[in-house]
Amino acid sequence: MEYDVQKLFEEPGLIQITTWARGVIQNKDARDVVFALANAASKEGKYVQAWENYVDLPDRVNVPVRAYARISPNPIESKYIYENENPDVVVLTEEGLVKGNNVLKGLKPGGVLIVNTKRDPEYILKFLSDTSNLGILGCVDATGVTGYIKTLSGAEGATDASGIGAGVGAVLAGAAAKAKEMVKLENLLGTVKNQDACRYGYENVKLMKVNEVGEVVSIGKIKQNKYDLEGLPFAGTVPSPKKENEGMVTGNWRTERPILTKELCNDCLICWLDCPDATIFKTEDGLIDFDLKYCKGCGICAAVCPTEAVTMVPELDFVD
Amino acid sequence: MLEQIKTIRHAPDEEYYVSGHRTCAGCGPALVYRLVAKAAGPNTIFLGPTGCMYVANTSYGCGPFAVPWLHTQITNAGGVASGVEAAYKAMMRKGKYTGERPHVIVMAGDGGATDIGLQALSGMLYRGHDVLFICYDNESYANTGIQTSPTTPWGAVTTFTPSGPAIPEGKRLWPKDNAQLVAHGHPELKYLATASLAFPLDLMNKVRKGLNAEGPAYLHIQAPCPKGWQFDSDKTIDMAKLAVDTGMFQLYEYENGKYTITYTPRKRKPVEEYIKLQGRFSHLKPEHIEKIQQFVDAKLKAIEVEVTAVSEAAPTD
Amino acid sequence: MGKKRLITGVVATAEAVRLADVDVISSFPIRPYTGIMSELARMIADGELDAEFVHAEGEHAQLSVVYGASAAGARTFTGSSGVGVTYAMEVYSPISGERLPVQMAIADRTLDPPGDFGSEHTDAEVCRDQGWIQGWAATPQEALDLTLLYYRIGEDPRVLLPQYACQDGYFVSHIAGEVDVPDEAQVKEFLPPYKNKHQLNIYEPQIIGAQIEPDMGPPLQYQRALAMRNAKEVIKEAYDDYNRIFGRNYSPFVEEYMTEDADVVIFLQGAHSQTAIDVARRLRNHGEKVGVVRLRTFRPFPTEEVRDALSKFKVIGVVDNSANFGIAGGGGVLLTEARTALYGEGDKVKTVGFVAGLGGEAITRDEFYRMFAKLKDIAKTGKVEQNAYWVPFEL
Repeated sequence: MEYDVQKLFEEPGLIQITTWARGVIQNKDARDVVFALANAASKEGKYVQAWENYVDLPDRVNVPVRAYARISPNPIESKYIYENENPDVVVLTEEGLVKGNNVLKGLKPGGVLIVNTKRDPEYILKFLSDTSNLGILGCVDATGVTGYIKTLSGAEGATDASGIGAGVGAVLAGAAAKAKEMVKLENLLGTVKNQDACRYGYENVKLMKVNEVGEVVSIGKIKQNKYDLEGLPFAGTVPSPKKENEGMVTGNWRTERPILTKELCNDCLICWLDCPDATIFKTEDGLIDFDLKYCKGCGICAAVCPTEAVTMVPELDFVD
Repeated sequence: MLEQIKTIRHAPDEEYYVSGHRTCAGCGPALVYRLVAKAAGPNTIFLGPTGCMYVANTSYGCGPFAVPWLHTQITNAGGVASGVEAAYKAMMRKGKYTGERPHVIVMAGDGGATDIGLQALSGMLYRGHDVLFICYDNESYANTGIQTSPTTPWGAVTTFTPSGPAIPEGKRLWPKDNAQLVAHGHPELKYLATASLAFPLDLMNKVRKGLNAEGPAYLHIQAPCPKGWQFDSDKTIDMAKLAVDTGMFQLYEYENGKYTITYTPRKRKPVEEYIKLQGRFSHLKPEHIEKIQQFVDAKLKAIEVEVTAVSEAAPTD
Repeated sequence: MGKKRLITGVVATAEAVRLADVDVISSFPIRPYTGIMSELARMIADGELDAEFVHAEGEHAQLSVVYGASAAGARTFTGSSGVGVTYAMEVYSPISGERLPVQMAIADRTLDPPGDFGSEHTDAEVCRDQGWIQGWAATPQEALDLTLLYYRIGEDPRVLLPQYACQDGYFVSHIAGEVDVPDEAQVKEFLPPYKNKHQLNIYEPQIIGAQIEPDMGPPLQYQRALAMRNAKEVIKEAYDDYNRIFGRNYSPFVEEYMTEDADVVIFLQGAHSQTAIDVARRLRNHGEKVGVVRLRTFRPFPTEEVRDALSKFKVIGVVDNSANFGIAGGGGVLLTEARTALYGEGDKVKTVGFVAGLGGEAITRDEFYRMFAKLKDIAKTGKVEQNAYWVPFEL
């Protein structure tokens, strides 16, 4: 028996929505985007799914996490493929996620990217690597309209007692519905708590055409597990790292970057000792510097600095 | 013998808990781990019972430990540590191992130390194994998404103690005091202390005292958790400081049957100043906060810290 | 050369632990295995054995202690019975998953209720799929030999798996018999010192037991499965060496008694095999072509060897000394596994199950006699009317 598995597993009409967010502090808003869109589509008689990526759980403050929805005119056959392999729409709840995260991975030709930012699409585009499949880039200042909803309710698959779409998630769901035809606005408004925010997103998202894409001919690769059994560590045991653990690089967790004003630094070393990630090192000039490969941007160094020599600056202000 | 660290400049540069772990931005327990590893040095074996400091640190088949590290179940760190210590004792006596005798340190969360792991901890202390057992107390089962543990404060919201019309205050039980529980009734215990991230040198020196002690030692370290307590990730040290300045957490040592208070706030702050900064307490009403104040006052009186809570700002030192 | 002594299974096991120069032992009292630990404690007090003897606060802690000690590089020993075995359940998979060749003696005991001290294989059998080598000794001599054999097999770098060395509580553990206790020189020749690359060592730091992504799950489980497969070859080698050095005549997987021209046989493991052999011999004296096949290694289950042994007969009665409520076929684990081994042999080999000897009641000679009679009936009529019989109620 021999089939082309790519063709064998095609699901015509299936729309995949992926939201990227910062763990814990934006996790709920990420979940709200996918649940709001899936609920709205359900009202229209579509088949739907919505969930969080379990590889990203348990989530940690600032860690990039993903939430997903699927909307289809037909029963969803790939329902236990736990990651969206070929998203039609990608939504970022925070602009810094464009750095160090392959957010457009597997994007379907002509796909949409929505970013929560007050910056212009042109600026955001600079940070995206392979944009050949990107059809539309949309920017909307969701945080300018409303805040992130911080709650533990609704985590781990439980009921969200705080309701769906009260904050940033509502704006982004509205923006996504504008950029990609998948649900009617009125149905979306019928599912979210903050309808004004949702309408704002729909009406104010700045859309930019990136590529003209014709008919979609193929989707990405179907996941196939392949293992190098010889190269596998025995019983999963690995040698201890010496200086850094390169298996878990965390520089892409930052939404803000610490900056040292050297003239103000009195070399007290408090920040050095208080960094949970050991990313502050002593320099030859007797001061300190930051290891941005691993700095998560928690801001403790700035908070404990007695001379205000450390300030936190939005990560996307820097192009490096 | 590990020397006491006099000033921040004397703290070792070497890291044995290195960069590259999936703990929260601003994670209190991660900072505890780093300071403990720094204080203990290279001659150390860490045992990591299930909890945040297992899952977040070793996510994806790697980890930040530059010294040997072994996973244990959340239930049995005390037992596994006993085994490691006993093995080195036997192997050295029998000439099967000729290297340095390693320090054995358990890094358990409050679940692994005060709840499901308490029996194993007690067994280890009772038998006199030369192990430093550290509880990094972030006051909930945080790895599983913030559920109540025995050290979760009264009135805190967790996903197992939500606040609702029928139960407005959230958690309705007073926290277990594990340090007290451990201190009394384990005659082989050689050193016990509580420590705080607000005083990192004190914390590291207590680690060294615990390791120098010939026999079991227990450290209970409060480790603020931005995820579970719901505060901004840059406020971790502030929370630790406020906890001791309000008396919500007390710092002391217990050695040879005697307590030494290692930090007394000059002017104690009301607990409200601590509580109002944390999302887990945001539902509490004034009468709830008053209840917590009374609990703290009584507790401090019991350990003879006679500092009245006053609401003016205390000097920061 | 060895020395003949009249000793129980518990003492025989302790003698083997002493001969293996074990470094760390963890104990907790529960009948009937307790005697092994009392004996070891005595040896340490008398200076016959140099080991750390850790009084664990329960079976879960016992297994935790040897997990840590083995990871630190020590040879370890622990043991239990009945509900003690199941109380430690959480720790079995971590021990085999981290590939630590801990040894645990199990002197079987019924699970509660009925709170009975008697033997049943249920306690050890519920742990059968945790990645441990497992098998039953049927005499005190075998209890001693199995202990030494299992250290050698489990610590082999091709295997590195923990072992349950089982013996029927009371029957083997408490009835003294003649045992040849080998001397240190023999044991030294057979059992090399324990070395595991995979250990807690400050000079070569390693991270043992890290979390993994879901896609690392399949290959890591596969590694453990391969170790279990490799174990078969290692078991054969170890038994060959053992037989040569100690002058025994063991077959590593399956042993046959009076089966040359048998048409019906009883298949079982453990102490009650001795009674079954006795009954078969008496029936043979009357010309009945009956025999006994005894399973010596339960994990890894020797599928091919069991098939080759059993497929020669017309009817096989599989005796399960365990309570497996609601199991397929209504018998026990051994019945379902024997049938799996015989898959593909078609209808020419008939199998029937007997659940017997529960709660520590001996399987009587009369019961074995009735089992053989039932097998003869089936051989004659060619009909299996019932998948399995609870003895004596249904037989």
